[in-house]
Amino acid sequence: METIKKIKEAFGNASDLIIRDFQIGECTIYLVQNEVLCNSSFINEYILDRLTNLSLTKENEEFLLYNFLPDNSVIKVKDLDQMIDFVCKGFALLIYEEEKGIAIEAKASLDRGIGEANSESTIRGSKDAFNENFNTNLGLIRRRLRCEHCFMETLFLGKESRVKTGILYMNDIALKENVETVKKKLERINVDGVFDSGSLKRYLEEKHNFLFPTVLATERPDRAAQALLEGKIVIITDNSPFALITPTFFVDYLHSPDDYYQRSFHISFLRIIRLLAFLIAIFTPALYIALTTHNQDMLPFDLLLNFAAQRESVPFSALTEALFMSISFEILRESDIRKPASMGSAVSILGGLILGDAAVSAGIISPIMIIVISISAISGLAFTSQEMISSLRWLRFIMMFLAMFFGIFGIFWGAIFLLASLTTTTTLNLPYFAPISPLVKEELGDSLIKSKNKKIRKRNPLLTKNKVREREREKK
Amino acid sequence: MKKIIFLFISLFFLGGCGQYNEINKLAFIDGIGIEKQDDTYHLYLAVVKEEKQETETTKKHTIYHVTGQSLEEAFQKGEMLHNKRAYYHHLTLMLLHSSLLENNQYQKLFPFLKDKLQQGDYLLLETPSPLSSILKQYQDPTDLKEFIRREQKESGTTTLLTFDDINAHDYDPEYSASIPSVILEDNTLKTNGMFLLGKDLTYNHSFSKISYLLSNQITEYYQTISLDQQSYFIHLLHLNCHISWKENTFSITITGSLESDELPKEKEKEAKKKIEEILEEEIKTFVQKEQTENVSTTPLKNILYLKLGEKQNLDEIYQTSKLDLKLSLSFQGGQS
Repeated sequence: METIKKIKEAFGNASDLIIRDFQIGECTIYLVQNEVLCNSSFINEYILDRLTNLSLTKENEEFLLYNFLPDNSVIKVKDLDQMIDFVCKGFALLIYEEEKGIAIEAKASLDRGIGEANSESTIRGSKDAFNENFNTNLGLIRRRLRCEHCFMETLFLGKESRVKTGILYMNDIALKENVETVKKKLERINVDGVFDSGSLKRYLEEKHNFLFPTVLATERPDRAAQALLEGKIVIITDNSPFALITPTFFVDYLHSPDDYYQRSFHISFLRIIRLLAFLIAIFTPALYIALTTHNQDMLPFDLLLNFAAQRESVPFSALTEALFMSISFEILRESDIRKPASMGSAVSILGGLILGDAAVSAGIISPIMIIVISISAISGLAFTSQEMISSLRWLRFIMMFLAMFFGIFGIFWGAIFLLASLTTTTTLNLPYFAPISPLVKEELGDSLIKSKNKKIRKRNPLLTKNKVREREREKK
Repeated sequence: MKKIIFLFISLFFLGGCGQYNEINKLAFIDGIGIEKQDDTYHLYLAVVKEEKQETETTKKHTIYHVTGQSLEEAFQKGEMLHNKRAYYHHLTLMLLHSSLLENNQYQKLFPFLKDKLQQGDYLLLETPSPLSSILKQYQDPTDLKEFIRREQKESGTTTLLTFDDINAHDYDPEYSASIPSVILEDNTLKTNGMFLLGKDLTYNHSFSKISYLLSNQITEYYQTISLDQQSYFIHLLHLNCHISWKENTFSITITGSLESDELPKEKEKEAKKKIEEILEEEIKTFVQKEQTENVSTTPLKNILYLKLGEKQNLDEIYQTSKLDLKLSLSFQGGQS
């Protein structure tokens, strides 16, 4: 059959492409499948077993094949490109005529099952997390939003990868303009392959946003479901355990998924701690550099003498010390992530020794610098978002350089630049610093200080026109 | 991205604009001593450094001595001390020799110090004794400050005054400040009263005590009295002085408490009377001397100036005003 020849040529006579022909009744049926993408047991037990029991003729072959094969996903295929596409997606193809066939879903399960989130740990709340399977991820969200309003637009991204990507939104909550904007941005993607949702971020973010992340990646289905109910858009991608949430505001990075499972008072305290951690992570090393190089008169005398005594034997400048410590910490962190499990904790111990007592004893750094950089680094890890952690790293370096050249004045200059950046950054054309600037009263009760749940009745008007979140209970 | 690159390039070009000093390249000056001998200025700089030992951390003071034909020259020579830049922002004490303050020399000295040191939060002391002798014994300015605090509490003949306090009085053009004075006698440091800047003279213990009392700069001191050939140590505390002027009369009211561990109860009345007599005598002698020499270092003339403003016959009014003194002292727990 010409179609079969063309399919073989298209796949370059690949060894994992299985083509088998069957004589059933009057018809010759060709089974085309990709051995690694299809579940052979399913094909053997259910498709072939049923197929061999059918009495096919030229008149009834299409009807019988479409209606009598046990699968809920059976699609009629009418051209060669479609056939090739379905084979690549893990469908088993039954070709009965030239460029005519039936595609039956028989995908092999190549994912790792549902596990716990690695990057977003939780104390309260569900422990399940997204994995690399698109259907599983979609199922985890739909389990939490069992309603008909959760719509999905499907795209296939990447010329060669053709990765299935879903844009989820609540039809009665999300703004249509936002959905259309996201869809247009993703449709404009013209690359060979998309292998993770992370590669879609640069297409979704505005070009002038270089300091702060505006698209949140999450492993948690509950977080994704909460975002949908706020009017946000969730993007899930096949082969990626991270879903993207957009638009996200600055205050969203101070929140954690557990925020809605605990009392308001505790949550408000934790959010304030995270804000303090944000400020400490950025400003602590810069403040130390400024106070020890430009503005020594701001330090109490005893502390000044203490710092001077500690830095007596250190030959480097304060900035050099801080850069050395910061870069060493980043190297240690990176090697800790990448090291093979078989290496155990040897790298961590070695790194701790290098950055700790040994460096101080050798006179390379002062003890106070270890404390300063440690406080800053640990504060920077208080966020659930990896993108925000990366942003903090850059901001810390910028502040250190400003402090080195201009002292406290440089830090203030940097703080003004930071504030200006926050207020001018946009996410899907919405102000990033909302609800603080511009002031959005409805959202203030859930920004930094969390009001009691009964007081949060309305949704963010920037994200939705359907503002009512909770209706008044009917009085008995 | 272009913005960040521009930011970094501008940082390098503007890098020299700020005053950059590494903390370990600074010599922290805790105390300064200035003296003038034979047209040569002697500058003593007490540099403090923290040294870590096995179980504790101690502060070590080193005295550096530089000389110059002018004060600017001396300070310039003292700018770099063993490759460390002199740092004056945490200066706590300045000791001035009387040779620098006589003949109105302070009028040039104080503006120079204000300009050079950029701050005035340090204590000021005057001494007629050689500075080298004092600083040999008291290298740590903290010891000197402790001495002054102790004397302020015990004898009331000195008080703590900062450079800013001395320069603070702008309302009286004839106001001349006073500086606590110390003296080294037989290798022992003692208070010498107060040095009156405008008058080039030193008030003795008694006068300086009364001057500080009338301006509420001391609130307690100890007085020794003799009753029936026995000496008793009486503590005067919670002292408060109120001065007013009306119809050519200064009304001075002093209230306070008395305390003594060794005085028997039955002698309290007598002791109180004795204290009041001594205090009254001291105040009257002091006011009389003030009026005779027309000195304006006490609040008496200042009160008059505040009341009447600038008048041509202000000195005459001051000198002819009478004194109405009321003392209200009582033993704690006893009757007045």
